[in-house]
Amino acid sequence: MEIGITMLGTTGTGKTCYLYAMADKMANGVNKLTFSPTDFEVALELQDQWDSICEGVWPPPSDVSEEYRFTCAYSMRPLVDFRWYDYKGGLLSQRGDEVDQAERVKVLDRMNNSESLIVCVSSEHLKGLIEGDRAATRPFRAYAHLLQEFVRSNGHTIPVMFAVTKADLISKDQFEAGVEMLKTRFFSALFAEDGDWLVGFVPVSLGKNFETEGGRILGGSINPWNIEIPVLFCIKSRLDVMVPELEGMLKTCCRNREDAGVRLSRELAKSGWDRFWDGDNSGSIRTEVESLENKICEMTKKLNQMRRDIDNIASAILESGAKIYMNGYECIK
Amino acid sequence: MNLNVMMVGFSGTGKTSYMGAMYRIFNQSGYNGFRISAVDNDNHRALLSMGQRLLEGVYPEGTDIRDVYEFELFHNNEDLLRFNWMDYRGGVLNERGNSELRDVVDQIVKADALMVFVDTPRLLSEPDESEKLLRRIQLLLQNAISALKNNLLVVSFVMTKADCVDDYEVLSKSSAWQRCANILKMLGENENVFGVVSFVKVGRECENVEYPFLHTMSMGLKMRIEQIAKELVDAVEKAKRYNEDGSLFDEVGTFFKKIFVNERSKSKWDLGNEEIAKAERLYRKFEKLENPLERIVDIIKCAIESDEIAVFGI
Repeated sequence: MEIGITMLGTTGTGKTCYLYAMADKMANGVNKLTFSPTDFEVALELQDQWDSICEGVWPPPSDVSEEYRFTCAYSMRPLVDFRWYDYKGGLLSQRGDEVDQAERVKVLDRMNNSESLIVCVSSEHLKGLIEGDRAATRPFRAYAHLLQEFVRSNGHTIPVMFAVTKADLISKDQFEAGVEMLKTRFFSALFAEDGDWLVGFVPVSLGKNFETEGGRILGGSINPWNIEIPVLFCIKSRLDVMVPELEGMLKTCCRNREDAGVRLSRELAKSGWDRFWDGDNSGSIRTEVESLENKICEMTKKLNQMRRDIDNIASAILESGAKIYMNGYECIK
Repeated sequence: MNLNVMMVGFSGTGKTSYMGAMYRIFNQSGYNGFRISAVDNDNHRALLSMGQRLLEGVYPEGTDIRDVYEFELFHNNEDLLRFNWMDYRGGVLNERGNSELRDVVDQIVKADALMVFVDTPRLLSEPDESEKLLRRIQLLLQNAISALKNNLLVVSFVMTKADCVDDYEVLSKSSAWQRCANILKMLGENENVFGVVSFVKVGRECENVEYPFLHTMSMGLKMRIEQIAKELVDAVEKAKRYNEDGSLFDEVGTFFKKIFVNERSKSKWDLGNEEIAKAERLYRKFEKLENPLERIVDIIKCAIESDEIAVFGI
């Protein structure tokens, strides 16, 4: 199973740093949940990039778009694979040249083929919004437009997690005030009662007290927090959809098993003469029954495991202080 | 099909030395009736010579090529199974854009058993570098486990150069050891993975070299036994069904088909008898493997009780 996740964000919101921090922190895991790139060389590359940040060098803005594939695991047992798309932040805000236009189309295409979105909101912009800075509203208007475009193109909503990056720069009150402003001014459609939108807000950070000059980190403490929550939100929202689908398939399988059982009984009740005359199908029906029983066993096991995985992820999200809304109402879990 | 054992570890962790010591112990004198032999004579001579030099305190040069050794495992001179043992240049795991790296990672992911080598004194002397390397090992293990589906994986952690650590209490509090312990904990919670952790010493005197190897072999035997048991149960079920479904009409019908239609069909009772014969052959194979497996389990149990090794998983 693979989930497509697109992280939207204008230049400077921290998408690339987020990716490196997430790859490092989640390689070791949080609450037994780990993310690891499916390609070992890519894992080495991401690790080197994070080590570079730890040695005091911020990465330059992305100048190429790349797709990464990760495996999310619980106690090293694979849960789900997800695709992650990193691209030039400027693509969403600039008009750009032909090449950029082509790249922009690719980003929008990726977004349309994703199962979840993470919208990177810089806490600097959020602060600007609270303080009435008009320029700070630009990215939010761009995101609102993109989400409307998504619904128009696809005819359905998509789970959206707003990751407030560099959250060490704002207080809890400022975070909550900013969230309220976003809900009412730019994204009210996502909180309509029958809108069918699943939306979340979570503060994330790479650490605190960073002092930066000329691309170098001169001071501060690197200690990423909540970095895994946006992706876990995306994974949980997908699993929540898959559970009823799997339950439906299991019911169908059980019905088929019952039917096959009835046919087998009828076949075994045939007389020797009937079997000689009509042929004996009991062998093939038995095989069918066995195969259905194995399938039912596997599906039941998978379903139970999926439910446990959802619980584990839900606990992690709950502990982070993230705010999750469904149809405009805050979800407890 | 041979069991595939892959050594996982960076340069200088002692993979090749371990292989030399292991071969010397299990080929020359054997251990509790267990013996191994390289199928290729050149490999046999090279490994014996390496084992001999280790006794003289001479350690092998780092491996500069990738090599696959094919061995045979015996117990009381009865052949049990064949296995492939893969060695490679440890430095390759640090390199990128290298087709050799891709091959090695591919082999790790496909292996039936992994022996992970960790340089124990380096956990204390170079903790940051060790943590980096352990992260990479964790990624490799994650990739291997992701590819498992419903199969099992044996992972043995071989903590090398155990004689070079002065203070184990200090080691147990180090951040690098904590990272290692975290990996072991996660492995232990995965129902498809099991293994041992042992602190080994290789050289003029060897300690605990036999346990990771025997544990790995026990899994090879278990996998073979499980496969045989499954085939045996299958054969018995089939025999039962054929005998239940068989009848005089079926026998007569089959007879006429053979004579008039020249069809090479078999009656249900014939098929049932074939399955019974197959089940008997499988049971003999099963018996041959059971005793050596019990012996290994006893050896591992004693080693756990005397704190020479720890196990995780089942």
